[in-house]
Amino acid sequence: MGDKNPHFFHISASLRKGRNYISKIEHNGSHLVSSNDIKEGTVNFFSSLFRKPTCKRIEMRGLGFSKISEAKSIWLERPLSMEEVKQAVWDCDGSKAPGPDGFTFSFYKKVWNIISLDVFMLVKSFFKTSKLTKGISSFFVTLIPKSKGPSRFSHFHPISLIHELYKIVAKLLSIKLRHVLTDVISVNQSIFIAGC
Amino acid sequence: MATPLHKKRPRNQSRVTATPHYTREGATHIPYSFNCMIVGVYAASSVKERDDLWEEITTLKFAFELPPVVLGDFNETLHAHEKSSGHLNLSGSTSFHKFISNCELVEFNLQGHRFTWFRGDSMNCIDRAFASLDFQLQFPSLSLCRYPRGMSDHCQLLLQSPEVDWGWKPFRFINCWLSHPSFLTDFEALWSDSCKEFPGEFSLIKKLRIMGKKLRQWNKSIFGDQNIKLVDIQNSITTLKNLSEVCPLFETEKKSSKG
Repeated sequence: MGDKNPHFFHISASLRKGRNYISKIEHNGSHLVSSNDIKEGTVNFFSSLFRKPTCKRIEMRGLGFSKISEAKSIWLERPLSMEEVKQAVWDCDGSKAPGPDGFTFSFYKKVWNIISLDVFMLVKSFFKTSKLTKGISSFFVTLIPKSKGPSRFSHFHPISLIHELYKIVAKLLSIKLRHVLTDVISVNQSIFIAGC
Repeated sequence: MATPLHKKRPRNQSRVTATPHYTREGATHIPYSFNCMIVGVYAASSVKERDDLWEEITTLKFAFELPPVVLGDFNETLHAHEKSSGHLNLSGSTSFHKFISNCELVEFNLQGHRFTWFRGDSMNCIDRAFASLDFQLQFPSLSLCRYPRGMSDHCQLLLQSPEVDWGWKPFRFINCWLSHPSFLTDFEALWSDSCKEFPGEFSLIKKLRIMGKKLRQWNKSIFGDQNIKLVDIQNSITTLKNLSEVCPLFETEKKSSKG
């Protein structure tokens, strides 16, 4: 057997496809069989799962949490540099499952010289307005079976495949926050901070 | 391929029905006929007789040299979780395991259910379907579904090929496109060709959407089908090798025959 074994990979791919295929599922006490029913049931289940809770959120004010210094808050809000954005892109794995638009980070890295300006503009506008368009904040939900022969939606573990641009923004935020976390997190919880 | 598995047969006797040279005709979406052997199984309730049955099917498989599909009532479970009681008949299941690996069978997973047989409080998964890898490869979309059991202890199982239209298929960037020598130049040309018309901060989304459509076309016209390419390369190598037996090759031909 050589390095390449397309036959083997072909078989494992088809078997995986068969395992992940949902031909029947139980929802609200009824068995859904037709593709349209399954589609509708899935949307139904997950839109109620991901809905905002209607009850009021608890507010915590005046509890004397530690704050970051003014110097650091200015540092946090300093204008973004192209180098930072590039670093964030290069920090992401190129072969991870892509978001709804289908582009991977390998693609971003390869064509970086062509698209970098557009990416930079978009990220910069987020840091200015703190708004993302729906095109970026939408995501695919993929169902991973938790056990063999899953028969209802609770037997699946939903994962969200988010947009690469969303990941860049999240990465940039987390890189920045890393530097100020030590000031706001109490000593008891220092285990959550890298390098502490 | 419907297989009613609930017919009553004498409990003490194993039955095998085999149809060698079964040709799958009348299936419009398969452009050629495919020979396989379908083995319908009704296994006896005693371990000894079942062992004889496994041997008989193994002999059948090697005698006909056709990709087998083995399905029916095996009266045996493979794992403890396939029985509601959780107690596994160790000797029986071990020889069942052995039979499956000897025949190189791969199971069709039952969709959405755990059990196929019910009596009182006990539930088992004793009805199953297996096929060889060749067969699974030929019909990758086949799946095993359970239907209501009616008056019988056994549920009806149906091995079916769902030709379901799940609707619009999203674009996926294939990372191996990046390895194509002209990818970068082609991409740049497509980008500057179509993307100048979208100024603005969120234009990247629109641009990428258009690039997705363009890359789809690029994949068809320039990148091409990898399987066809592979066959082409293999063919040209064979031609050159055959040629080299008759007369010495030129330097350029030698290089290309090494790929």
